[in-house]
Amino acid sequence: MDYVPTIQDEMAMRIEALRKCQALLDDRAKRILKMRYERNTPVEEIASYLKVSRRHVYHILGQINSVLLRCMRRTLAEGSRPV
Amino acid sequence: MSTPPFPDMDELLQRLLDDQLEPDEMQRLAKAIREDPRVRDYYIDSLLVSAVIRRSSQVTGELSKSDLIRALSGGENRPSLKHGVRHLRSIAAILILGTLAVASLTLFRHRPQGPAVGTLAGVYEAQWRGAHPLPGEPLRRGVYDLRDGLAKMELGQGTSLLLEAPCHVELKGVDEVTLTKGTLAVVVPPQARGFRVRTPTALITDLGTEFGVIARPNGRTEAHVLKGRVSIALAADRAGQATSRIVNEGLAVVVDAAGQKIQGGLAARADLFLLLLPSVGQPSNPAGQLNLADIVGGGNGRGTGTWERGIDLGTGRAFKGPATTIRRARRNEFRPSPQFRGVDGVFVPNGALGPVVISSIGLTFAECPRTIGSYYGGPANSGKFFDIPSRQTHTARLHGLSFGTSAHPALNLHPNAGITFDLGQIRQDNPDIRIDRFTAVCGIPKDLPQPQFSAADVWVLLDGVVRLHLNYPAERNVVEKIDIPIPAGTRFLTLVTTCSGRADYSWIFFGDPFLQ
Repeated sequence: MDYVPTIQDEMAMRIEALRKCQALLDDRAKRILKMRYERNTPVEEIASYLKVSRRHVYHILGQINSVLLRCMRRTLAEGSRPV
Repeated sequence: MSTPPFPDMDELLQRLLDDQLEPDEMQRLAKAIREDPRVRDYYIDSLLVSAVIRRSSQVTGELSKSDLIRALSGGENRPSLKHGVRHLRSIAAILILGTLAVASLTLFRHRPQGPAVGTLAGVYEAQWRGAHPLPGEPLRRGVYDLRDGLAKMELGQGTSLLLEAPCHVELKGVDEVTLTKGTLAVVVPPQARGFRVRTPTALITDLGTEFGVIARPNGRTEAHVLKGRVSIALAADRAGQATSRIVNEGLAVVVDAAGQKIQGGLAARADLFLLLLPSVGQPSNPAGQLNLADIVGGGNGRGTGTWERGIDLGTGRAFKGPATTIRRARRNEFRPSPQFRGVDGVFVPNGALGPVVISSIGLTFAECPRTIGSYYGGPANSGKFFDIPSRQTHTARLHGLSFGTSAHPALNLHPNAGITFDLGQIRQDNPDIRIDRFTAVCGIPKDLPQPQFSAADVWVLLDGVVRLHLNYPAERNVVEKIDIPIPAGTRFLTLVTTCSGRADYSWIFFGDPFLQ
């Protein structure tokens, strides 16, 4: 019988892909994600830390999201090729 | 399709997650999602990425498969991949569209608009959801949702409103505000007599006064008259009749959650309301300060510690909180904590069991009162408390401000507990920082699930000598600023919390606990 991935498998693959992708982020991006999500730092404070506007912080977070999304999809596509 | 379907979509999504979209942007995004499948796919994948990062960061600090799978997939069924992905996307789409619908309704129906009815007079670390006015800016009719901190509004006729987060109000005009949820203090000058505060269950009308109103999430309303008097009536649309009463200075009334009964004869609690904005809080761990909460979280005082981590009073070892079990110590025993750099050890204080040893060199706490020796986990790098009956975790707030964040760290010290810091070791590890003060704010959150069972005490000792003793009675909310000079050469700083009886809901924490 063919192997059919479940939702859990699918999520595990995405998480694994994201883990690899997160590791590839540069230090600045990692620092921003840590502030934003692990420490729940308000955007105003990140803006002050980076010396940019609040709006620009959202722009940077958007860029990081985009990079991770692209990386995750690429990793999944490569990983799903027949060996 | 890996690039965003339109250039600023990534930024819009990030602001949407923070509820910071303007109505026109929300409309644009909603329209694109409705009409363009590429936008929809990108949207769903982006939110999944965000959810995965957010969830993993909050749970473990790094990605944890099991947590994420539980959080994001749910259910026990194991359907096929196609069905699974479709199912997953359907759930995500429903959640997202639901969020959009709710956000759109909120934004479009109640977005402040029209002529100004007042100005934002000042704020204390305010964080808004939706409309986010700045001090000095006009306030218009509509909804203002204060998520954190305090905000002072001055309305056209001179009425002053002080909102304490979380607080959701709708300004109806210069003479009326609706308080949907939260705590509001009102000062009404003579020319604005008749000012009204509506809640989901009551209508409070000023009769020349200062008063405070609390609208609980379950619908219960409390009105406390601090000066003058008010009239209170049941919300007309529920009662259908004019049930009202006059409340005089120093008294309080409660309208039940169903909006059907007014209970009077209660004493007003002035301690539950702020009429003035406090001075601006301390900045987040700036140079020259060491964060004691971070040290309790296993860090170096500069932000390397772990959130929700603490020191078990029973073992002196690390635990991951918040604590969920009450234990009892049968004897006084000092537990060294070698795992934590800068912490000498921990103990459960109980003056009834003989000398209370508070350090590795045998210093004792001679003034320690009798306690029942119960404890709840131990000191923790956390602003969160777990309520056993409801099985819910609460975030600690003082003056509307959430603690236990990078901006405002919190050292949670639920009685009966003691922790001794080794200042000698901390100085040795941080030669660039001169340690000559301990500063913090200390208190018990006032929005507890239940009132604290008994009075609590906080003690601060330097080398075994009591330098500060604070009392927290059960019937009065107190927030104290702590600023204790530390003479050069002092080796041990000890923080102790005790309770004269059962310690339930004596959720004491030190906010911004810094050595500087």
